[in-house]
Amino acid sequence: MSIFTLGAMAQYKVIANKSNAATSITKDEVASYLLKKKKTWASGAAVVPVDQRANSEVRKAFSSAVVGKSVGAVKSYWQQAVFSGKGTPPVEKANDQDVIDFVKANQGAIGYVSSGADISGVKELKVN
Amino acid sequence: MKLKHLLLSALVLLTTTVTFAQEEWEPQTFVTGYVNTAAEYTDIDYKHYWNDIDPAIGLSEVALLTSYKPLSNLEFKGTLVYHNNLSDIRDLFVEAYGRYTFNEGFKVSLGKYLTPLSPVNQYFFAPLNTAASLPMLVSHHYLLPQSISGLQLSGEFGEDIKMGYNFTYGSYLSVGHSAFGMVGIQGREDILGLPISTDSEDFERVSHLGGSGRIYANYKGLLNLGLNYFDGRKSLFAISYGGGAPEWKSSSKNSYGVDVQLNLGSAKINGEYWVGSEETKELKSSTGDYYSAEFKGYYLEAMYSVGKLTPFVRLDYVSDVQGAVVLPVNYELFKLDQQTIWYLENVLNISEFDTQLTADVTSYTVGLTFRPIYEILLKAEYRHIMPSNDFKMLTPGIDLPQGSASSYLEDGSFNHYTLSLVLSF
Repeated sequence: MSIFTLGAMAQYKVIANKSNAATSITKDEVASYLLKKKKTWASGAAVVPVDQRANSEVRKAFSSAVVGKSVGAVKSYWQQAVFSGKGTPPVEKANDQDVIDFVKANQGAIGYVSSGADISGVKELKVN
Repeated sequence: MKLKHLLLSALVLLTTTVTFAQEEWEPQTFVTGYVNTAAEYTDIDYKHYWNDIDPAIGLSEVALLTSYKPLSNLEFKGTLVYHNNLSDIRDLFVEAYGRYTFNEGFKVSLGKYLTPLSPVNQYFFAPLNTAASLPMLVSHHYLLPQSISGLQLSGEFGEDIKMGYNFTYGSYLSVGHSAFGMVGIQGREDILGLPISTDSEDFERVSHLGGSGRIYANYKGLLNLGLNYFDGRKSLFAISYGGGAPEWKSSSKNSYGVDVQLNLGSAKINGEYWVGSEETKELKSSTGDYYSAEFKGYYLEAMYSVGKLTPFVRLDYVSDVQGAVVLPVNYELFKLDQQTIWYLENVLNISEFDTQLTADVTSYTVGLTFRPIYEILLKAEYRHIMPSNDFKMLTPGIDLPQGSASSYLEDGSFNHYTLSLVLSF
């Protein structure tokens, strides 16, 4: 594992609602959920992704490390999806606390926050 | 009673499978759009052309898309696209609809949509279309209408292998050729400078009932295969000689298409193939045959992204309005559509025409896009456009209702250069 990857991984945590049975998740699964390519959890419950603002540092790190694209490329992906009627992007929250509050309030939610954020009330999913 | 139970069961099934994805739903608004400014040049050379085509620089397109979801299963969407050759306010609203999602497999929409039966229609928008110019299947939109108003049922099943459907029924605006771009070449590659074709927008802007159907399969986002069908009514402009007024004749029109999209990450290939026909029982030849005509078009595009650069190549072909006639009296040649040729040959029994000369058009495109950041997209494109014949057109010996021709194209092929800057938000 490269130093760059370690650095990127240390910048965010993937979180889910406490009622979610999952404890770990693969990178591909996280990316699929955030890009709405997969819409249900293994339990059959609907996935409710939540994103951070495009100019946030944690989103830049997350997009690069997990989705494998720049924030601009992800925005292009959603622009294409919206114009072609395939879907709309996840709701965007202004900061870590808003993301945590959203995940607390929605059973199927998945999001990400800065590695130093206080995530009491939600659970962290280990990314493999 | 059985029917009542069936309907009740269906209603219960639909209402109980509604997906409430977000317990505390917050209304969502999404706004995006772009401004496309282009510089264009063409070396098309019409002798006696009534307007020389100068190089042009200016606003080519502006689009604004808004999406609003007041509920998790209810969405409103509106898309306005202004372009340089917009001739009718109805064309400004390319989409405006509300969609209710019962579940992913069953969605009901009401309003107006970009015809969902063709993926190339998704590339109608400048930020999504790799090339600066539209595929001719879209810009000509004779084989598939650009938009349909009415009712739409759609849905999708599966995750790794997705199967989807889309059925739309309603009114469509029967417009054959609509000019795009700063110099107005796009969409009129085969009729520019020639007598107005009977299916041109100047002759017919009438709404007709029609429906489209599309089914598709998608494997992990890598490969997509689709089958499409469109069927609708149409009016034909029946020419009349000997002093009679031209008449509209009711006809039917249908088309079939198959499409494939291969997405290998950096490399992408898109292609479509369409065939179509129209016929009417209101135009009969002296031998009793009814008028009919057939159309065809295809499109193949390949691109490969290298960082922020994406070089691409594209092949276009359409044969939607075609036919050429030789008038032996004056040894003149001019282009007519299939219906006119059929009328001259079969109704007026004028047989001295050479109808082997068709007006199908082939276009080869190479280009490069550069997107340094999401908000800025630069496209450079070269197209070589080849009508199948050298249309040498002089004043015709007979008086056609389309008007007399007074120009001719010295060389059948021509070039088209476009530099396009798209600002997105």
